[in-house]
Amino acid sequence: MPVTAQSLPATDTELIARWQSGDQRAAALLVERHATPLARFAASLGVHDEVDELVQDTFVRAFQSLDTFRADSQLRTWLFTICKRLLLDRRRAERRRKDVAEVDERDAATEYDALDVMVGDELAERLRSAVSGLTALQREVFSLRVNEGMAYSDIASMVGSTEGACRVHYHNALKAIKEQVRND
Amino acid sequence: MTECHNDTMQDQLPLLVRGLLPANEAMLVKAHVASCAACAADVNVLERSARLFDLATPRVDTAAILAKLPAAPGSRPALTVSRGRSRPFGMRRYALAAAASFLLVASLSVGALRESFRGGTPGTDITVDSAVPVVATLPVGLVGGNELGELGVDDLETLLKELDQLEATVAAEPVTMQRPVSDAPEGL
Repeated sequence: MPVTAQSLPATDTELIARWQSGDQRAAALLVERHATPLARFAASLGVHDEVDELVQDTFVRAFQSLDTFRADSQLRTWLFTICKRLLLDRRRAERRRKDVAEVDERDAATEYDALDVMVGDELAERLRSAVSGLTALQREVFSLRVNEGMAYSDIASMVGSTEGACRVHYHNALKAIKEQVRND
Repeated sequence: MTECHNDTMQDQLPLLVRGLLPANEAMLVKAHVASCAACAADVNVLERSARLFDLATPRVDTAAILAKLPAAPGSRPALTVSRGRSRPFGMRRYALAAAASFLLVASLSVGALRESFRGGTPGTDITVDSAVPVVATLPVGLVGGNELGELGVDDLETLLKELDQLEATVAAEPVTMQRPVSDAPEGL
């Protein structure tokens, strides 16, 4: 069947424009499209029980300030950035309550237990252990690359690093995982 | 196992695993993986990692998210305006019409009262004719608002008929109401 312009799904930019002109259904399409990747990203950052709430808050925050979104970047990258900021805010608030000192951005996923899921075989268990053993930054870069296929330039702007450094983080993460899976 | 030095192909592996490559590019990468043991091993680890991340991802309640989202900006004013304008504007027109009617009736009434107190225009004056005392006390408007002297024979006959009907109405009252007080039973 030939692909026509009508059969192609609307782009994020088109859906945003439709929502801004009053089409509430466009919001439903955007949520359907990005909710699961956002949840996966949140889980990869170490969020466990509060993923649903965090994803919800991210969408609410994003739609409240959608007029500030610049179409030259990916909506999903923007959503991930909001999600990460919200998570860091929560972690800071939690730590302030516990009278713990300044939180570094790298600490976003220090308490990593999101992969504590039932794994079916020994190899999968070794893999889970290997991913959990990565540094927070390595895991974030690896997750964004593996789960979203995100370009290194986008990952770099998200994690506040350079494209080259992110490439290195990804390859180091992959190497560490392979080694641990092989050695255990 | 020797390492792969094809950076371009290595960069494409995560995209291949997630099915994010266009068909023609996917074919090229698959062909490379088929002949490169290092990339094949990477694909294996990446596939397992992707599965692990997917397993760790809980289902999200999209309906709950949608319920919390703000209304689309374009729809907010439209809804407010259509609701806000239709009823109040209609009410305002209705109220204006009612107020105008009330003012008109009130001003006419006040004007008429003033004229009658001042002894005003002959047309609204009540003419008292000693020859026909009952007729003179009737509202002028009953037969058209003119002086009795200007009335024709037919008009006068109509007026008399109406007076007869008024009397008939009185006679139709209950007998007890017509009976003189002196006829009332004792004790009352």
